[in-house]
Amino acid sequence: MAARGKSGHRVGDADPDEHQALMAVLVADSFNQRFAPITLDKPRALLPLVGVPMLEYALETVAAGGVAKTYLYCCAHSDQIRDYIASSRWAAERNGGGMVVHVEGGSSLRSLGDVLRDVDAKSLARSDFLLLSADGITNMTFCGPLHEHRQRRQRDRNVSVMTMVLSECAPGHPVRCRDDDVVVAVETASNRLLHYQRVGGHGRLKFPLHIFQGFDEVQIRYDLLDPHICLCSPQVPQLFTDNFDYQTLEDFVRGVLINEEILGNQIHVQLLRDTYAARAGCLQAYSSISIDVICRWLYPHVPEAWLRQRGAGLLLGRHNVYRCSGASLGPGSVVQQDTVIGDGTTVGSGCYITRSVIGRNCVIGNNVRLEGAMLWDSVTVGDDSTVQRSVLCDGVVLKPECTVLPRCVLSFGVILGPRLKLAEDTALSLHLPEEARADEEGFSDDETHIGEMSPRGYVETDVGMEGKGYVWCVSSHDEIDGKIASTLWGLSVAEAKELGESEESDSDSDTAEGPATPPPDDTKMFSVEVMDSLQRAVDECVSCENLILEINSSKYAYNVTLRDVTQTLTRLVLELPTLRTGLDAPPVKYLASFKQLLMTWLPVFKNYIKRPSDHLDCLTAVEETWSSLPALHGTIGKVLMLFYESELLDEEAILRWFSQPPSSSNSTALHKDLGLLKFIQWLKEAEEESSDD
Amino acid sequence: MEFQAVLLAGGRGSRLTELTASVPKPLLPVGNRPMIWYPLNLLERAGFEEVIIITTKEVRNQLNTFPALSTKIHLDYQIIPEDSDSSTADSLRLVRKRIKGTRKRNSCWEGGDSTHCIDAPVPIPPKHPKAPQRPQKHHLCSFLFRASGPTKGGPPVWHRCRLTEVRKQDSLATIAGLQQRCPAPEPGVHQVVLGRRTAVHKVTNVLVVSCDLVTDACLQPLVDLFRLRNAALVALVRQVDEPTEPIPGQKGKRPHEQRDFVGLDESGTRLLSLASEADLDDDLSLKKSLLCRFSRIHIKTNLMDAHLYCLKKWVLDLLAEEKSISSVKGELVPFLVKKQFSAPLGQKDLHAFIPADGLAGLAQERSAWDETEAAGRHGGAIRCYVHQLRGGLCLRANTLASYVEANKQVARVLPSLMVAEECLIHPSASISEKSQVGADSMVGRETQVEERTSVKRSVVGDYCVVRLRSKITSSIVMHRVTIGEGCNIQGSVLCEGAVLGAGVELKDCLVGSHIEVEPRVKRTNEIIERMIMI
Repeated sequence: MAARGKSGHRVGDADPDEHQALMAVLVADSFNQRFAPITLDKPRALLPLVGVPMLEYALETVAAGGVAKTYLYCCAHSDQIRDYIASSRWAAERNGGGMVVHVEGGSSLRSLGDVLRDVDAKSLARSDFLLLSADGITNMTFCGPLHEHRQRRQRDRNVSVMTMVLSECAPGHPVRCRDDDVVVAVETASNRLLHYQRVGGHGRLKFPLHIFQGFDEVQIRYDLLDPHICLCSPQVPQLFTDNFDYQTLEDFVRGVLINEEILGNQIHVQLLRDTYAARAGCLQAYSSISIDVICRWLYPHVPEAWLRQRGAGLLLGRHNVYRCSGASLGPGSVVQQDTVIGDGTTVGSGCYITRSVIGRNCVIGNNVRLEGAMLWDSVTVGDDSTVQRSVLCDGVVLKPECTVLPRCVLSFGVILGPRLKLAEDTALSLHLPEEARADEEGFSDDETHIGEMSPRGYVETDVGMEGKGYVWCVSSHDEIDGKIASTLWGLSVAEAKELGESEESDSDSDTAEGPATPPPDDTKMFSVEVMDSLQRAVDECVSCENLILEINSSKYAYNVTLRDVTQTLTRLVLELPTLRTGLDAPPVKYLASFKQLLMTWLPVFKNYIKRPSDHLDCLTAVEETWSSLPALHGTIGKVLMLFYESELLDEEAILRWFSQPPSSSNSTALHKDLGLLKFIQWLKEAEEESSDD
Repeated sequence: MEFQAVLLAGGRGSRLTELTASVPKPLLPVGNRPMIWYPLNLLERAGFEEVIIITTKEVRNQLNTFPALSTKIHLDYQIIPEDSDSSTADSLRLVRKRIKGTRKRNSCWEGGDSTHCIDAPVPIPPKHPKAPQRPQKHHLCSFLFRASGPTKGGPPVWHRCRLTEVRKQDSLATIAGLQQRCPAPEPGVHQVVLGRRTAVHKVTNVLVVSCDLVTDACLQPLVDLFRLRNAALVALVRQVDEPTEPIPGQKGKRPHEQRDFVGLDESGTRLLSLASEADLDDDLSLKKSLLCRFSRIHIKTNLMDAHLYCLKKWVLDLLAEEKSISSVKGELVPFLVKKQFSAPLGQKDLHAFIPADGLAGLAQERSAWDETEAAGRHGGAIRCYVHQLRGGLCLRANTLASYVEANKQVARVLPSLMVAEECLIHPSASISEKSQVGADSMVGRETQVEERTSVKRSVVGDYCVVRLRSKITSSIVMHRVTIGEGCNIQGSVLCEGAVLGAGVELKDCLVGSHIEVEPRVKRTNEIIERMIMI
């Protein structure tokens, strides 16, 4: 290939000593389930990206980078990958003196850590080597970074164990998927990595102070994407062996950073500005990278290189429309832009296609709209169908008049329709969702157990009259399915933006009133414990002294403040009658029940409500409970009256509490409660009378 | 200028107690000038004509009688109550009412290209004998002058051509038209319309500076940044140089100075986060939304805040409302920095303090540009920036170490700050020809330096006497100090009126004011605050 020849030449120009038998370890498994259900049938490395398996991109890149030997580690579906390599041009007999590819591993390897421990056990790494992931798509060359890496190691006597390649990519970019969302701290002068953190759902990011020590300037960067390309020294596999708990690269990076003072190892980063590097970590990134390949951002990895390789003729139209000569386009069909149509595909008349990939031997009917659709090989789309931004795997059949809304996945062989509208974020597979779940105990996603589960009938409302397939996730009401839905595509840009904005306003309110601490779990546990005590006290007539003792011991056990005790106690006693009488019991019954409880436990209350602040705490708890407890609506005046009559609350506290400005909409509503107003009125009058006397 | 300068000189010098026991901090000598001279000089160089000094009664009285305070700037005092322990924010609250809405300033303007008052003055033509003494009412422009262009390096010669009456409502275009209608000048003759007017400026900004700032910086870039970005706050910062020399009277390691964690954007000007090391526990925490907007934050730990701030005037209004803020550096600035990225919250939010900018609002309304998009880099209603000073001298003489450092370095920059005829060695000082006074040293007025003495890298104050065969190296000798015969003073500070007997040897010591040290005393690394007998 042209690209290979070119880069190979450049390698030859560099210092020959440096490139003695450069080796790469290519990991053809991502050790997660984010491409399920597709990966039940095929490993991620073999999924086509613009018609070519992702693995091919990685192999091409390392070959062009002057690597002499590649160890391809495959874990799940290792037989498929072995077969693929054996039949490909990388096979030893067809290679003709190029890069040697050894396929290693098997399903016993369950993490990246296992892979590197295996590398160490077989002592494959004798010098610096490249570590890549098969789903990393890049057109970078390794000479420059490798040279810097080696110089750094020579200068600092092997202190730097690894150079991570990170590419610049603004937050919210579609190529970034949530899993790849990292924030790193890098020292400006030396590019040394000081902190590496996955962002996840944190609204605030914390950076330990010690990382800033000794440096004048540290950059905190959130515009970097980790394509999982590393230049490793031979120490890296050894470190994985020494620390058998390292599972992922992140574990390793964090471990090295934490132990930096003890072991003296450092990690550096190489920032990519001009070249492309990304990782198809989720379907969102997968589809964005596909479009980038079509738009030629990844030159020399461009569609015509791959298509010509298969010997197919190619028509390259304007606006990046690639059409194999064997593909036919019906009259009146428009291919707008950024689209590849594979060989042997027929497109009917009156279709509109834009930003899509259509594989080989597909059949597209008439009047079909494809917008951002990734169609693999042998897909059939019936007349008058629409597919928006979804992935349709090999052999999928859409019967006429189907609509597939964005972010859907139709796995191998699924049949849909006719006349069906598939909601957003739906994944369909011929496998039952239970198969994957049964498999979840083992980390590696990709192995299948087809046939172990008893097949179930297809649901017509899900896949249509003639449809075949099971719904994996429709919405996020099921926890596990929801997780798959959100991670399969990652967050869309708009969603991410919304999230950011809501976060902003949230944290602003925090800062306005000081950092709001979420109620600690202890308080909740304490509340549960006290509730148990109270219920038992009712059932078994426990004496008040013993009840106090129990509450006190719970208080110490969960280390809650006296204030929490008062509030919890008040809340629980207010809630208890509804538990016994039911939520919609008449107010009279509720009041009677409440009065009885209050009278029984009067000494308990007296024990906790003493100071004026306790009165206020108690009232605050009443206020909070009021909003969640409909039984209190209308009876609040009477309830407070009972508190007042039993001399738990004095009028001063109540009036003061009432005169405080309402803090929320709930309390505003509370302040309008007629019963309460009546009671307050009565209190005020009583006070005036007494002062008149 | 639309700026009101405020000089904070009410501090007690709590980190300089050894020295401020006898002299109030603003009057401590740095390079034989009271410390307060330096910020005043800074303001004067920037073109300020008046300044409000917030200080104690004591300092004001002394300043009024101070001989060496050669400054043309008009000093306006705001006295802080003696008894109260007033904070920097309190000082600004005091001064808020005194900042007038407008300010008058006489200036010249030139027709044709400049619409605004000029900070750099245009040469005012000499008064023409035939010109009317005062322009009539409503007359903006009273003279039309023609200057024969600069001939042979000399100043332009001004001729009065015609008296033209320009009414106030006339635009500059009209003036330019008038100019054109004048008789065509000979080639090479430059024609200018010049007038005098009283410019009325609305005071919208406040420049706050601390009295302990010793710097030769130029304020122009800082003010440029402030105006360019329409910022709420611009602070002056400078990289800290690690001092290496020992501090007089302090043993062991130098105390760990509290650093600031300053977060800047890529350009190094926008202030994104600010936290003092003392306020942080183990982590520096940043909002994710901030990182989404500024995905590259440079955290700097080696910047010193020079306590010089350009503020919008509404910040003082905010300060009057927010009673809880007590320190400008510690609370007000971090508060503003944090509020840059928060959405307005209801009525009580500080966005209510920001006066509406009608023009900007109109531009926003008519523009297709989305405010939220623009908010990325220079957006938001509140914007805080820093101006990083590179090179030059910039020190805060608020600790003993930095005070000593300032005295040492000031001889280097003083010549550029002073009036030309002044020099490092006062003309009235009598220095024996057989003595050696280094070029990096200063000697005050009427000080006697006797034979065979050597003064190196030191500052010797006014009315001092340095007797025979003494050596003074890297030291600060304040006013009215007597140093006996054959003394050897190294890296020390001798406060006002100290008397050293013959043969005293001091290394890294601090001698309190009016202390007499007996002859032949040898001390290293001590604070001498009582009489020493052998």
